[in-house]
Amino acid sequence: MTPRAGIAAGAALALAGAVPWLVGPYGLTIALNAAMWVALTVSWSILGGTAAYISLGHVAFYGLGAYVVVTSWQVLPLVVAVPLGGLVAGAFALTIGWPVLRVRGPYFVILTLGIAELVKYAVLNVEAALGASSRLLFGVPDNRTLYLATLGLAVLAIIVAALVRRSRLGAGLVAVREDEVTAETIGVPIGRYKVFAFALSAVIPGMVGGLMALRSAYFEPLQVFNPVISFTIVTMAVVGGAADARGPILGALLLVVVSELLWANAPQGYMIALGVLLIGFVVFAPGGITGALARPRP
Amino acid sequence: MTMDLIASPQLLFSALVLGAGYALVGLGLNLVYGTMRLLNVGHGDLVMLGAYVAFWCFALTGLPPPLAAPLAAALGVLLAEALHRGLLHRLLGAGAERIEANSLLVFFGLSIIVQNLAALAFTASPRALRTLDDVVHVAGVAMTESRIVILLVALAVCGGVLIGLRATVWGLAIKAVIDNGRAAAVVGVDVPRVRRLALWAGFAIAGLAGALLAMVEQIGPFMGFPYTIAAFVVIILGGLGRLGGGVVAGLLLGFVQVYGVALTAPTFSSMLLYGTFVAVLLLRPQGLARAARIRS
Amino acid sequence: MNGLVVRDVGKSFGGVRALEGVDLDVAPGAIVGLMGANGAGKTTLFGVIAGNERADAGTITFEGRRIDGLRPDRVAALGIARTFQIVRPFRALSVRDNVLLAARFGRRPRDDDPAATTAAALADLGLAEQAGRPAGALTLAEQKRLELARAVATGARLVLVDEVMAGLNATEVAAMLDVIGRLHQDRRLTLLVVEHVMQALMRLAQRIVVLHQGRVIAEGEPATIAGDARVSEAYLGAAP
Repeated sequence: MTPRAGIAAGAALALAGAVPWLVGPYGLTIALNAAMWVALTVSWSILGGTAAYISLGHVAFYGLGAYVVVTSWQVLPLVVAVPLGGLVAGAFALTIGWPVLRVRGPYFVILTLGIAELVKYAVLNVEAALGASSRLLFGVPDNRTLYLATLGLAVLAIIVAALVRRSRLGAGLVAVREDEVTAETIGVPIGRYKVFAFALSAVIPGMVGGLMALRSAYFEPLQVFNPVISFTIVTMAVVGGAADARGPILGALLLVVVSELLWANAPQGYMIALGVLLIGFVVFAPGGITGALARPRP
Repeated sequence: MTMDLIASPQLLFSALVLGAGYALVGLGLNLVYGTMRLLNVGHGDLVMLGAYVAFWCFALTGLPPPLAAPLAAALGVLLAEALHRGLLHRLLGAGAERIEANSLLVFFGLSIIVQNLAALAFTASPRALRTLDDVVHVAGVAMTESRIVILLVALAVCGGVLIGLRATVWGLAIKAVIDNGRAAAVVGVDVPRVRRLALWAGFAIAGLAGALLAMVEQIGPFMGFPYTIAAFVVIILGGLGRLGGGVVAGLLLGFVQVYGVALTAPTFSSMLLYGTFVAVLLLRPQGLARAARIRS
Repeated sequence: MNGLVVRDVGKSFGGVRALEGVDLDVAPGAIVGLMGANGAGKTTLFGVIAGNERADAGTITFEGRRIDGLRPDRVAALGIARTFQIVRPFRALSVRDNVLLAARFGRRPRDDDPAATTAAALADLGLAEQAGRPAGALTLAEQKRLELARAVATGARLVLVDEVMAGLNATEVAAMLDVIGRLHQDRRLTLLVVEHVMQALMRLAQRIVVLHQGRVIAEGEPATIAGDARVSEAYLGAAP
């Protein structure tokens, strides 16, 4: 990082940290949304941006983290429960990773989508068996606390993703994206790398899910396992350009703005806009905004 | 008590109806994927649109769903043509692998758009059709008329398509394109036309299936996705381009779900569907790619 | 240490016997040529040695260690690299990054100066001037050399060279022969070379093994092989 970029990043971080004291409750909600989506999309890109394994099932990790925090509410303190949610999400990714990451390309995409739905219905069944179709949470933290914690996770995600991209792991994952057979032949342990990156990309979403479950005092599994969350992550990454480290951040921030313009008045309109953006970028600018800026077409 | 349930012809009938519906929906996807390598994850949304056609025809004019089914099929053809002109020609230029990868995200976007447009137009609240629900007893099994219609029409359409593929020139051309598009072109098959025909047929079948299923399912803008998943199970398990194998796979999935629920609880229905899907993909990690490569 | 030892290796693809009872020895520092018509099993044999395919039968040892059944990255770590007949560059990456990846992974223990290894491999293969270009933009001849550069950069002691001359013109073939000869001498590489361009192989190899329908039908010095009736029959279908 150049000194100038370092100063800019420091200033941005200071500004982001000061947001709760600078804006009103509505502004804080938007900032919380932004921090959440940046954390999720950047984490997703640890595998999706490097190796181009497009997971459409990241909501499973988010939901599992949320479920851990909610079920341990008032049993475990949050500083334990939230990281535990991340660990559970990561452990789940590690467990399913070996078989799941043998499935390549588009089949991996639909497989992850199917797994997330399977996990959702499994949790719904558990809840039904426990006789708790929804839960009330008393004494959830205020939005300022949630925001600062989520901002911390977003920063952590950015740091982890940047470290991965610079490491041998990141180089190997890029080789996987370019040609998996060649990557393996020149010595990249593709199986281990993919599974590790998959697990790494699941931990922070698990913690984010744990925090987001506390945004309202009412918890319902269908909310935290909503496939729309996975879809939004992928769209943000594609719009920003997942191959570039800045792409997921840019895409997330941009779509949070679009969301604020549309969500309150026309939630369906927002979803339609996401769909249009996804199609438009895949067809016309597969490298996303960062890709289009970096390499103007000859 | 469980044994009685398992042995009951009632359950067998339910499984047959559900399986026939899946086979029909999967048949449509098989035609589209087989000829064009388009991973249409919005396939189930065509079922949803077909169901709404049946619902509104019945609500507004009293037209029974089996008679609305051709209209739903026609809507499928219209959408296929619109999509082909608007988007697909851009996708189809690339190699098979790129087509698959791009088409998946594009269709996912389309699926989200169509679902939310439907929610805007028809509200998100589910609706139900009450028609043809008189109970008929056949050999001691109580069946509603609607289910009998679904079973018969689904089997007739599947059978018709299978025979059509073997006995007609267009059918043989479709089979040839599914097997190996390039070779088909070499021997003089008009591949673009065959693909367009298959796309029409695939979308029409999904719409038609939706109109039929409207009689027994809750109709809502988000009802389609499980059918997409079922269709993928059908084509992955049945085999690419193996339309007969797909019918068997559809029936099998129907049996797994109906008997699975009978042995556990109704809440397990979705888990059985998604669980089968996940298991099938894990057992065939190449999805359809390997089958396609070996045959080409 | 004995180089590569292949014993009784067999491999079938869905009922088609691609390899059957194949024995092959490549002594350290040797250049052995592998000949055979299309479909004779040469590329399959490379795949089996490099770990891209799993043999159904037989054993393969390298420097005294069993390598059959190992994953490709494990085989690479032990010091074997291969090129691909149908080139597989990382198209979107620069030529330098293609080679650098091989230097960063490849053999174990790890290369402690991959940048230097990369520069040396690019220079040896005459790709230094192309280093900044995307690999997908190279000519076929250059992409073939990139295959070799990448294989060399892994730090391999044995390189399986799969038809790096196919599709090249006469001048390019001559240049490639020089390059391979120099790699062999300067880097003391052991080479197993598959080649269709028969004269090239005759000049390069000290010993030639001929595969026909998955079996070894002849082996010996180039001159002997050239006069072997079974070989001309296998190639030309002529009566002995």
